Amino acid sequence: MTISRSHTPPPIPQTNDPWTPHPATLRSMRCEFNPSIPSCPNVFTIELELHPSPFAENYHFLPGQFNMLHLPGAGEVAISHCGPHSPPNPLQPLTIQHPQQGCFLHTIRAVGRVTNAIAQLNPGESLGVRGPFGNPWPIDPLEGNDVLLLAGGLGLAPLRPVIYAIAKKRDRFGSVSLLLGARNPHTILYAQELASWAQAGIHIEITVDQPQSTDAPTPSELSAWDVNLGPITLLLERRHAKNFSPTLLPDQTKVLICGPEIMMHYCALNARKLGIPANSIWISMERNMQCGAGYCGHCQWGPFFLCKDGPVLRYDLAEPFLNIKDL
Amino acid sequence: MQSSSPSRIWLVPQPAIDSLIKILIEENYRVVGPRVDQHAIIYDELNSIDDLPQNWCDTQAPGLYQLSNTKDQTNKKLFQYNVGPHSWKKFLFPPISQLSPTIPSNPPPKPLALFGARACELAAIAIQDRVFINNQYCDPNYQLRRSNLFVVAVQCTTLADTCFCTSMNTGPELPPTDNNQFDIALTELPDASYLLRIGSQRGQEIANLLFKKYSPQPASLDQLQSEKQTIAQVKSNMKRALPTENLKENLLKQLQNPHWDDVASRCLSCANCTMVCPTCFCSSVDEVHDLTDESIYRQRRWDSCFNPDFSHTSGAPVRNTIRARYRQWVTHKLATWFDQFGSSGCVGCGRCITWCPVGIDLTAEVAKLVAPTPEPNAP
Repeated sequence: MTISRSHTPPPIPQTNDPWTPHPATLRSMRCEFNPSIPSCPNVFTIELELHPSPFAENYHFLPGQFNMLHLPGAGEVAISHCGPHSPPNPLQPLTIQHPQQGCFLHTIRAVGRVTNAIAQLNPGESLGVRGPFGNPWPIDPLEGNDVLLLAGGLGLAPLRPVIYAIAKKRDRFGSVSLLLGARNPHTILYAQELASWAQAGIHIEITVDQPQSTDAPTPSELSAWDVNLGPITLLLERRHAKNFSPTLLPDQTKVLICGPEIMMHYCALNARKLGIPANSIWISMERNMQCGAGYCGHCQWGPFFLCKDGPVLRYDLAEPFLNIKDL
Repeated sequence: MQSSSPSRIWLVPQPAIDSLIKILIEENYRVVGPRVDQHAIIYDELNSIDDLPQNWCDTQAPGLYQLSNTKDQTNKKLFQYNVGPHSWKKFLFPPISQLSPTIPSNPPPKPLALFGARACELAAIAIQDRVFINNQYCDPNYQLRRSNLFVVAVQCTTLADTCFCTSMNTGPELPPTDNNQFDIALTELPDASYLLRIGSQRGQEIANLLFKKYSPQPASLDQLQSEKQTIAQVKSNMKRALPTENLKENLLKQLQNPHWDDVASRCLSCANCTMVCPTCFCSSVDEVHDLTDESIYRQRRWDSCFNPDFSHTSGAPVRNTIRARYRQWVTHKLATWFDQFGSSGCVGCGRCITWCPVGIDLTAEVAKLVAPTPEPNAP
């Protein structure tokens, strides 16, 4: 056991200090679901712009990473990166530009002390950002393969930047499918962007658990799709069918899953039944994240610090722990 | 100038201990070490030899800690106690610290000198170094406190009933002088004179100042023999041990073992074990307001995986049972710590056994958990 204490370590560059929040301005906020439907949770997407600084100039996130958003007095919350801005007109063909440096989106559900406080902010107000933290989704390793993106509910948010990253170089991938599950048609995230994703060559399938939970008519953005009824695993299972298009090639298919833990567990099991190898499947785990740097201890799950070893984990590494209750 | 050979072992009389403390203070160190307070040996500021726990001994057992004064006028020993409820982590990783806005410190905080660190405690500091410094992200606050540290180590010449450092390979003997883990090491001999070893350049500089007052004698072969025998005795008297062979693999196979329920029925989830543990590093950050709400700052404080809220995720604690929390602590400390930091998280100091209010003995519980399951038909 040797430790190096013979020399004085070099001074720490400010940007390397994981504890310091960097100020950002809230540029816009949009409500994701119809606020007139009482059963819809309050989910909103904010656009943040970092204040000019060396931190902002060097800021670069990868799909699947997250930020710690800080409101003084309320606290901090870990929120996934949701990618670049949407095109101004959702139906306009998707042409992905480099997003403006230091500008990015976060989709947030107002559910606790900090997220409710963020929901009360007005454009022009500031909050603190630490990050980006965490292990990202694989993007380059997906090239040359068919890609299945499985999103349950708000699990679409961390997959949104994957969709944009794939769309940017769409011809390098085989078939790309987004299988989307939600409670009901009114809680489908980014419904207004689906058409542009489809135009960019993303095959989209949708299913809901509870179609009748409200009297409100199905949102018009969904008219282009068949909304299936049942759990998201149905969309996977039916790929067994011989004439199903696109044809499933298990050895050339990579699967990214994001949603509630139970949903990811069963989706991964189903993908395995389709013959997809365990090391071709990735999931994104959620735990209490506080420091983002792997030393506050909150996000531990088995051997992983989910803030730096995760949130994205390859399924073959995560699988032994998914079955253990209360781990 | 004395010989600069780091392997030389010197003999100094007890008054040199007082001088050593005072030299460190003159050299602008904040000297912290063992003192008696609240019927325990704790670590706090030292000003002179009078602050050290001369004549104090402790009795330790699962759930028991008792301090007693030998009141023996002929016994002048300063270090015949075993580690108490405090560990050095309270100085390197303070229980409460302000994160932001950062407090400008003027003058800058004094460097620390730890006086009386035992072998298992040096191992614990090395483990926390791997958590906070040799990590993808460095903890700047820890690194700052750590970088100018001076360590006076003390050889263990006694042991507590709860010690099990031998099985963790962290003691009782101090590491060699060239291991870079202390600056000066002391061994207390039966006549309360001291063997002094030098473990660093800075240690040599401080020792040179000391040697101006007490010209040191080279240690005699008899004295070195006596030291060797004492350590051997401590080793052979150590009753407790962890079954460390393949412990990581063995424990991770036992995540569903019913024995976790048995421990949970006794464990109070009070978090004492994690507070006294010299390597436990979990913390939480709070927003702290004053009454007028004019000043808000962020405060980092020790937390524990035994607190239900610790694992709070989307509306509820993930580990909502004592079984789950005890399992998390033990499997992290003894198994997944290897994945994260390349070693066990336990140094065998026995604090968690002594300070458990219901006397849960980690070594006994682990032995039961990894014991081969008896054949169903066995008598």
